[in-house]
Amino acid sequence: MTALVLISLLTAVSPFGDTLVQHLPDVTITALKEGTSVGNIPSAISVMPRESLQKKGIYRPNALSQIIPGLHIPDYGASLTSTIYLRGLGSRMENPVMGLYIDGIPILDKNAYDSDWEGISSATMLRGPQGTLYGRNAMGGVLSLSTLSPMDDSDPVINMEYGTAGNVRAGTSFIKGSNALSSTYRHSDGYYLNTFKNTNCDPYDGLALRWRWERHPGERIIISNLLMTNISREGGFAYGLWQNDTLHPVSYNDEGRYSRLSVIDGYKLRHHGNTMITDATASVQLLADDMRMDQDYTDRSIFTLQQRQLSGAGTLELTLRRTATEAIWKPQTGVFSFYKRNSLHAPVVFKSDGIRSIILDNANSHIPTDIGYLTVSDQEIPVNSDFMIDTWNVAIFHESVFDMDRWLLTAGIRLDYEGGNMDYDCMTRLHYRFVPTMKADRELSVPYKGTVSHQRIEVIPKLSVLFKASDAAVFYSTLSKGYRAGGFNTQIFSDILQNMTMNAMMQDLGVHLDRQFVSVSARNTEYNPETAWNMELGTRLNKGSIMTSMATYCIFVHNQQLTVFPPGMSTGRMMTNAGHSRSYGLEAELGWNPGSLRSRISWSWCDARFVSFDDGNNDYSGNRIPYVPKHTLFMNIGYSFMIKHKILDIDASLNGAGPFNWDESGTRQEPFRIKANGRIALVYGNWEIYLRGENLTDEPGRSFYFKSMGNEFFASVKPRIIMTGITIKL
Amino acid sequence: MKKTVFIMLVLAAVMTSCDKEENKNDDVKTGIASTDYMGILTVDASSGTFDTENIKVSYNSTEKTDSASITLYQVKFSPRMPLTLDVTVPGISVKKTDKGAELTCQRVIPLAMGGEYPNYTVTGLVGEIVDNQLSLSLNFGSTHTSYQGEAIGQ
Repeated sequence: MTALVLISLLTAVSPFGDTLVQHLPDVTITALKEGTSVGNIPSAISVMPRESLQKKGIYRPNALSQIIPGLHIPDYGASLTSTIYLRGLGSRMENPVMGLYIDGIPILDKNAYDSDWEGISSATMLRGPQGTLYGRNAMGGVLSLSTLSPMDDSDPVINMEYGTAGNVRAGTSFIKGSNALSSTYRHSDGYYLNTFKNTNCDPYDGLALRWRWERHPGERIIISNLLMTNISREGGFAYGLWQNDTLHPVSYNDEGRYSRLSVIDGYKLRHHGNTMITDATASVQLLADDMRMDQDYTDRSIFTLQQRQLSGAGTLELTLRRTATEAIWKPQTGVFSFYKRNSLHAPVVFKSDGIRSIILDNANSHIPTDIGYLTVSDQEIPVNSDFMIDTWNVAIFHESVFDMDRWLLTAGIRLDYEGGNMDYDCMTRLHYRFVPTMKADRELSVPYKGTVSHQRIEVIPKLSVLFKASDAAVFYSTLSKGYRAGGFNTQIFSDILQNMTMNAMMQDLGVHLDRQFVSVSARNTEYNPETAWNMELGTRLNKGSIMTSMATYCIFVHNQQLTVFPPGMSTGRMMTNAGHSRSYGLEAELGWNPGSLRSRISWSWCDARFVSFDDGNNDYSGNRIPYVPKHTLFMNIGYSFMIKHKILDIDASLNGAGPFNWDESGTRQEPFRIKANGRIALVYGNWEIYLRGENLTDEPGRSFYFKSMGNEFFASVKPRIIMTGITIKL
Repeated sequence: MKKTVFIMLVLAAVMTSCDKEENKNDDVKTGIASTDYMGILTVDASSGTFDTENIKVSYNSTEKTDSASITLYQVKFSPRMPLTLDVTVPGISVKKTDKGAELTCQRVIPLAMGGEYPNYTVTGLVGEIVDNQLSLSLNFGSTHTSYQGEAIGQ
């Protein structure tokens, strides 16, 4: 839920935090739930105010990579990808390891994470498991965004920029009465040429609208409503084939695009009683999206995937906190629940080359040539998969903070129940013939329908102690738990149907292979929650213009959700609770802001390894967890020159991450790479013109790696981007 | 020329006197009801003789009083075959005897893998059904095969 952020912070929360805390009035509702001031939170925390977000060109979540120590959100695929790695946690599929809250509203669907941030007044990141207060998926941390409030003292702003790759971004935000509105339009021609189609594969067009309404009908009541919509249509999946130590250009022949409509409305009510503050939050979340993907990413017609979903969800949360800030015991108790229904249509279509290479070659390899062989007359074989997935969650949580002068003890627990149900309705139909015995094609239909369900209860405790050594320094130690929700492997159903179809074809022929086409069944598509225990020691120091923070952690992950090769012959992989891992790490931030100079260094080291993991083909125990950077680094320096009545502002930064292992075995690796970014702006009155650049040295790194049907693919990092823009305060 | 073709056709018809028509109708015309048997299949393969246990064979009486078909399930004609086949031998002549029935078929193309499979043309089939026991001896192509099974569910 929400917490009142006090202006009188004892210590800085991060090198970015000073700007934030100076501007937050008492009544501002932030998305944080902690029942204490930001400076007294016993977790690693970074706060970025609006000005910092703008100066660093942070308009999307992945731009926070490396700026937040240990956070890595690679930019690849499409908006739905949003793969997040934090402190060695994370995976490219299914539920994220970071909870996202906007004005206290939990964003349930990862596909809605990547949206434009115009009108965001601050971004706060809590690192480490935050499951006790934030529940599911807050295993690696929580990113909390605050939107522009009608109570803010903010001028209307118009911002426009244009640059490389036909990039256009236009945004506006303004306050009118009880309303704060913001909107963004973004266009890109795309960066990567699909050489097969001779057009860019990743153009983007998106429009985001945000309307926050807030009123104080009495001294004790604050009510607000936040409506967010995001509509976008884009290409994507710029994956090039890696062959003979050469990365080939993107070249795929089938459709690759993603379109999304997201509508989220959240209603909040706060009541200040004499002894208690009551916060109530309710939200309705709708998401309609449609992804089309050439799943072999080659110029051959092998197979395609569509994933069209229409989901609706509702959340409710009620928390009670003690009003008296001077009291020693500050308890907080809350209940949370949500219900989500997702209708998912996800057909895989095997095309001519795929029918030959995946289905027929596979089946015929088991039949002696002197007996005969199978043929299929269809040009395309659709494997239709329709799912109705219901997920529900009820949680009760309590946290008590004991504020005893220099010592602050926190103890909390959450009881979290989550259930899920999936109805699946799948069907394959094809026409086949066995040569020479069959004289004509025979139709074969393979239906697969049923229901699977699961229920889990998680107990998520938290214990921490914080010592205020002085007004400038705090030390803390935290033991906390987080979990990532379980779910169902919908993507493996095409494999199940593929194997069922080949078995049915053999059965229909009266042919029984010694080695059947084996696959998992629907019952095995469920996977359980992943849990993480985090032990952390940290400190924050604030002395004059110098601010530092440091945290060291040790995380043990159980029932880790990992992708494995299912038993039998399969073209896909599936998520399962296949292993355990551990992460050791160190994170440090240093900021020095004397006068008009601002500087900052963020650095992290993480050693994340499998304790045990066997994917069905190999044992990777002891190996590094793939995609997790060993180091992240962010170095930034900026200065504002006063020239008569104008301000010349210069900002330069280096972002680095790596080395990575791209796969579990570590055979493919990415070195530590650094990108240079910069911005130069001239401010005159209410006008600002600027030039900013990303990846100025055009560092040719890679952002993603995967294997499909034995082929290896990489996604390249975005090339140099230069943007020129203007910001006008009206 | 026409005479020669006609004579060959007649000879072929006589040689393949087994009736290819089949109908899995359970009407008992020969007095032998459609029955499933479980037993041992013995194949004299080129690599040697080998037995396969628990082979199911279905005896299916047809509308004709003197004809039946037999389906052998999951048959392997060589121990190295990576698969087994369901093979149906149609048009088997049935002659009722005091003890049961005698089965014969000179030559017929069996049905397998969705149609006729001439590579396993059946010749010299003889067998009998006596006291819930089915015994068969036949050649699939050049492979001599025999079967001894007992009725199941009796």
